[in-house]
Amino acid sequence: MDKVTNIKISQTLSKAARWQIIITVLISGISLLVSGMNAAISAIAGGAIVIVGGYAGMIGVFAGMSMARRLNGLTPGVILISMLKAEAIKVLVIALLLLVTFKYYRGLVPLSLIGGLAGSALASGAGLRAVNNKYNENNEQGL
Amino acid sequence: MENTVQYLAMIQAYTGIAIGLIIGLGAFGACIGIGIMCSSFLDGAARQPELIPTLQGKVFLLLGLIDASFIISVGLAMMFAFANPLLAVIK
Repeated sequence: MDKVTNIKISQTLSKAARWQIIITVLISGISLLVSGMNAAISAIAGGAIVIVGGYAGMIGVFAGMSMARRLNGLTPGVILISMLKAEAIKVLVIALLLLVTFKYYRGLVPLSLIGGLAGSALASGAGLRAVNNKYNENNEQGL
Repeated sequence: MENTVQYLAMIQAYTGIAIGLIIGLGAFGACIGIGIMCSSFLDGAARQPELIPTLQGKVFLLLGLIDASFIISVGLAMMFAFANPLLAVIK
């Protein structure tokens, strides 16, 4: 396995998280200007829910892969199953956090929350660009 | 008064159907996308096993991106369930 292919999931996810935080803060600022403090907090809550869910999924991937590495070795099927389990954990955590936010946050502005959530969820694709950049840099260096 | 209650019941009933459709169709689309991507990953891994580490990072990110539509639909559904803006017409 050469160095080009050895790009860690945690690196890509932290790049994605950086973009998610930037987008969330941007949407929160716009919400603050348009509809006030509660809207800004709602937008931050929406973005934070997706980021926390993403990290919960990442922990799930690492736990699944390290367990599989010890037991049978990493086959593509095992990788895929651990990723799907991690995705299930992520969706459950996000749904749970959304439920708690909608139920207990009295001054919630729903549209701002959805805006922060959507922006942050879509910004997770920015990590893919980071992976490609890393791959191209390594290719140029001949690694 | 009776009309108001009737309208309220109708809005809640139709909103319930809408919530089911939002979550169901969101999950349907995400499932198709994830199925296609996972089959392509297994296909690629079988053809070129040395590419597995490169592909797994991308697969993880793309899983998140495909699921984004479902997550957004869950958020929208919860908005309609807990803070339904359509009920403001009655009040």
